Amino acid sequence: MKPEKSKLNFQNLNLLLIFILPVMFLFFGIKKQSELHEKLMIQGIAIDFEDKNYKLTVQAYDFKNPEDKNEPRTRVIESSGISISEALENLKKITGLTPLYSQNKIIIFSEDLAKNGLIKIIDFFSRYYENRPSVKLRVAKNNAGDFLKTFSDDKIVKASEIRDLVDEKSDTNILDFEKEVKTPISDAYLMFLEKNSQNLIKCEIVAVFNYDKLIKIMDKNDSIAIQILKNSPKPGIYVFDCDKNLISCKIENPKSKIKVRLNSENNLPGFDISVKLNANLFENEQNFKNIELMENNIKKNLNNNLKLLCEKVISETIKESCDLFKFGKILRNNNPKYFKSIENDWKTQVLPNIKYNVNIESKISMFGMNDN
Amino acid sequence: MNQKIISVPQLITLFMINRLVISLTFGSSSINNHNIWDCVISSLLVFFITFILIIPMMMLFKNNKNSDNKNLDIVDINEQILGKFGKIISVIYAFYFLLSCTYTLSNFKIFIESVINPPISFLVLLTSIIIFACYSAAKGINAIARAGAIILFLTFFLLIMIYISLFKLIDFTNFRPFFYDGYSSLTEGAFFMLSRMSCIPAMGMLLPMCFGNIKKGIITWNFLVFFLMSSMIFLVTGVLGELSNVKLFPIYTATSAAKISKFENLDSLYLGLWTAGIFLKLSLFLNLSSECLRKSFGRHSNKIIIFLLGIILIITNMFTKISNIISGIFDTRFLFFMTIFTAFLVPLILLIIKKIFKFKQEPEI
Amino acid sequence: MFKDIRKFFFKTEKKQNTPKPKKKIEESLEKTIEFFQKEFDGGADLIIRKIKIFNSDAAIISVDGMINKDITNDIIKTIVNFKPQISNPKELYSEIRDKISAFPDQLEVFYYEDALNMALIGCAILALDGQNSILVFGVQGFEVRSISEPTSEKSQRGSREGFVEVLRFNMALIRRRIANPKLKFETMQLGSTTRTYVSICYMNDRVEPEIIDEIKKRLKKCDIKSIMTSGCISPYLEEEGDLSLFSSVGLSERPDSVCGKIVEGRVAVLVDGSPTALIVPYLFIEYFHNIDDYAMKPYFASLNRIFKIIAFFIAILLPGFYVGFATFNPELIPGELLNKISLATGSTPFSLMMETLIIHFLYEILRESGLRLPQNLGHAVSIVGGLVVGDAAVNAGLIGAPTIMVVALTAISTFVIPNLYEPIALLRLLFIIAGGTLGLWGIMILFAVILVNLCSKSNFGVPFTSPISPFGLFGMRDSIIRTSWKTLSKNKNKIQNMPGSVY
Repeated sequence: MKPEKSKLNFQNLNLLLIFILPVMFLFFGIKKQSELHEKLMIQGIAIDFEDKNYKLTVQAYDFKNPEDKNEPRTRVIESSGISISEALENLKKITGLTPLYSQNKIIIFSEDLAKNGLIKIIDFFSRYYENRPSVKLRVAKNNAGDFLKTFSDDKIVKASEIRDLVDEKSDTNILDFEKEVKTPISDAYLMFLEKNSQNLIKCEIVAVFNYDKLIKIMDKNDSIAIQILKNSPKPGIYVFDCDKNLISCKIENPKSKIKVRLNSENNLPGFDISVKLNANLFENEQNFKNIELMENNIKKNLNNNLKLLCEKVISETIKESCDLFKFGKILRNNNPKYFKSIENDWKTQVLPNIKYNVNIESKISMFGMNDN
Repeated sequence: MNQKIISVPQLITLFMINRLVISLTFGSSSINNHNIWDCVISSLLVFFITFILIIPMMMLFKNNKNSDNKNLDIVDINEQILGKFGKIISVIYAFYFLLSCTYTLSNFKIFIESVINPPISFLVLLTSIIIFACYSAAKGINAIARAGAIILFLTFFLLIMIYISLFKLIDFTNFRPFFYDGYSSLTEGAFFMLSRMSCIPAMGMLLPMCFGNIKKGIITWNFLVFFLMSSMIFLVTGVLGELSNVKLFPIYTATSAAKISKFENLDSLYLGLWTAGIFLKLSLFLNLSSECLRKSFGRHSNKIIIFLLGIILIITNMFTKISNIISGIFDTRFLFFMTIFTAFLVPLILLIIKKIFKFKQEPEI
Repeated sequence: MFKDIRKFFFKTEKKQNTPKPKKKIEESLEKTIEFFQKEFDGGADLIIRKIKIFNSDAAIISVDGMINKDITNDIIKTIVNFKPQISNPKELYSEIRDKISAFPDQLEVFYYEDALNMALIGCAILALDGQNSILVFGVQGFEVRSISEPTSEKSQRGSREGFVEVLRFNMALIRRRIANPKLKFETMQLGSTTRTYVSICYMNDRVEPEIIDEIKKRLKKCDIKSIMTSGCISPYLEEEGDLSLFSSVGLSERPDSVCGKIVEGRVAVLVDGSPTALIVPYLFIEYFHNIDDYAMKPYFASLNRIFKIIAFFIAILLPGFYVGFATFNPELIPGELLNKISLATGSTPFSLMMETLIIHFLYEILRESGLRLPQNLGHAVSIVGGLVVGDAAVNAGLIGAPTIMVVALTAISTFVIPNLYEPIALLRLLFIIAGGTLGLWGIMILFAVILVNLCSKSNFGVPFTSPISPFGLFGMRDSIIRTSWKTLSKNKNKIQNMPGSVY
């Protein structure tokens, strides 16, 4: 007799799979995963370097022991270690909570640390998945940790508040900084934190880097010039002297264009930088009968002042071999053959000797009143 | 012998998913640390080369009906023309499809372990992907194509959002002149893209099932692939600059910078859809591989073969050593050779034999 | 034991049993009465009334409670008073059959089984001695529920009529809406024990004959013993080996929406005793359709449908994403929201996944208890449930408020598409488990699997996910969106024209 013909019963096999899979998930899938409230939600990290150790000051939310039902407890925790990762690891030993970096808003470096180079530190933050590339970077005057421990009206100044001191588009985040550092022919700047006489934090000037090392902290006007040349949308309020009267303008939306010309005599590149910007007139001590005359006068003075300022900033940065304004990249893109020949000497030999010419074209608005 | 069950747009869908999965892992490490910006030109080059590569496959499937008016696929033609030797060729095809799966999985593994390192067991993730992929492979090409269309729609939707948000971040000084460092990245890029052209061998199985204007479809597909690849490279270079040559998975890094209002971390969502893409790719190639084997040894049910292939996949990817060897294979020219062999050489040989065979046959009739 | 295991993994082909041959009616009245008595086996509701018509023995056989006694009385009266002019008693039968005009519903049967069936559905049977056929009168008169608005499918602008339990009434409800001879009803008896009448209803000129043949084939293959509700035969209308959570057989209690489907070339299956009609082939997107959509302006109807689809995804995915994101991918949640969630979970003793699962179980229990209880008690349950779960648990710090909110939101979203309740409830649990164990990756894989499962489904040659995938622009005019009637009525929108259909 022929044996009974039988077929695999796929319905039952599928059913079996349906039961096996959840069991498999439940028993093997779960690595011990800490719950949200068992995490130390880091808001800001300040890094100092003292006695050959990295000293970390971390502002974080602690949800396990909240202040009240609606507000997490903001804790400031200090830890130290030979490396950044070790110092961060120590956080867990201090608090018993697993640090969660994904909500981090800001990383502050001390001035000394920045002068010694940030590449190693940035490397940790760009490598680790939880660290988002949009975290903002700052350099702080003196001790970085103090800034995360600042109180204002008996309340601690939160990391997010420090971040919001600077307009988002003018700020530098990890990705921007890493981008410039990893490109050998261009450099970055970071915003600089300082405290005023009332112990309040302010952030309006920039710190310029060469590769990963801080080289110079600019003053307020220079910072405005840098931000104008870097096309940051809100460089700030520029106060200048116009025929012995003080005029303040809010500068907005600068658009700078850089053109290259190769000088055939000494074989050095020259750059024509033309900037267009809007200036909103805020304060004007002058009295003009004619609005057109006033506009022309202010414009002339503003353009002139800004031109000098920008040229000063450029000369200061290139003197330090710092290619903040991407001259190298523009030269490379326009004259690849020439640039290839000088690529290795670009920053050391060529950049400090380049010729440049800044041309500012401003549009003044908001006259507000006519003194007729 | 196949029925015409999928339409040309569905075919394109399947291929595009396949391509997306590969594209996301594209980086300078896959082209021996050359500059990825030059690969825009490579993708243009590949755009044209693909047309040449496809010719034998297309010619082979032109009027390839047998006496019962059924459509023959590459396995049938192999057997018809080469006899028993054809079976070996079919097995090579099955092997190639399986290799393609392994390559995808090993890439997935590298990505997860080197970039994300999530707090979940990779083994469970891998096993569940493969088991579920087996399930959907058993459900057939039709189901995969239909599901693929929806996944592709979601992916493209997200991709467009990412494109728009990244477009604002482009710095035009990042685009350096083409071939600044010589032409090697052009060839390396083309080499990479061509060796991952697993769609053309898959056409050997899929074209006979396909109805509609295939020529138009192939041209659209090729153009879309070119557009996808070049636009991705364009965006990544524009946003990341030199960093794109340093990061292991630059496209992923760029997406992590994308941001739409309060929702910052679109990269994870993109990864989620990418996982779904990998899943569909695996199902497709498992299905094709099992079809090849089933047709050449036509005894067992398709499902058993898929099940066995799934187990093979799990084993090869479970042990790090084996998968390292396999990913080692893919870095060498082996994959390139396999792709060219299955996509171009075999169809070409078959085509020539077919023509000569016919030429001999005609006087007798 | 081994056999059982083997049975689990391997299936053996079944033998098909052939139907018994029917028995011809014999001339002797005694034999006929004997047959009925034997079949009912002393049953209390069999009524056999022996009468004499024109010197000839006769019997009226009926089932108690199934007939209208007044009409039956009239019939008996008419027959008894009937004075035909005949010479041969054998002619009496044909005289009664052909000349008495009092009974509009009259049928002549030649087999005992047919006569029995007729008696069982409420017909009166007249058996005459010496005749090998029997006359059947349709005098059904059982108590029925009156036609009322269906509670599960309310509509704002549609008709207020719903199907009732009686097959004939339901058929009439459909016929009244489609006054076209092409509308065809085909009735058959299914269920070897209950012998329930099932009617297939379709437009002759709009359905492919292959689909009708296939439906009949599947219904005939149906080896179910008792059919108490239309749900009993709906699995037999699905494709073989279909393990999907979603059903490709549609349900409706509304004659107007069933008629709409029939006009589009679908087939309705009505089951006696059930107020729910089955509709095949059914598309996934139709779960999101509503009869009111067709009464509104197309913009609003389209918006409505899109909202429903979003609600569907919220219902299945939200708890899974909530658990998955909060456990594995907190970076995906905007900061402020994450703070709130973390604050809420900080005080609770369970893990987020456990918490969500517990609330879900509680919710399902509350729902089930509220559903089956008398209405007054049901209110009490919902108050207790709302108070206990919603308020006390949060205040006591057992459960986080966001979790309650997520579950409540999911529950409300589910109510938007009541027909999909069962699959949604199951999928939700699966997604919570996937999200809690594998995070976003798990959710995406499960999502893809369910997508493949959905897409692999097709019924009567029509893909379940059509016209979305395989995509067809023509079909899209009444799917996710609805175009205006001017566009809709331009071309016949037949179900077989959907992209990817075999027939």
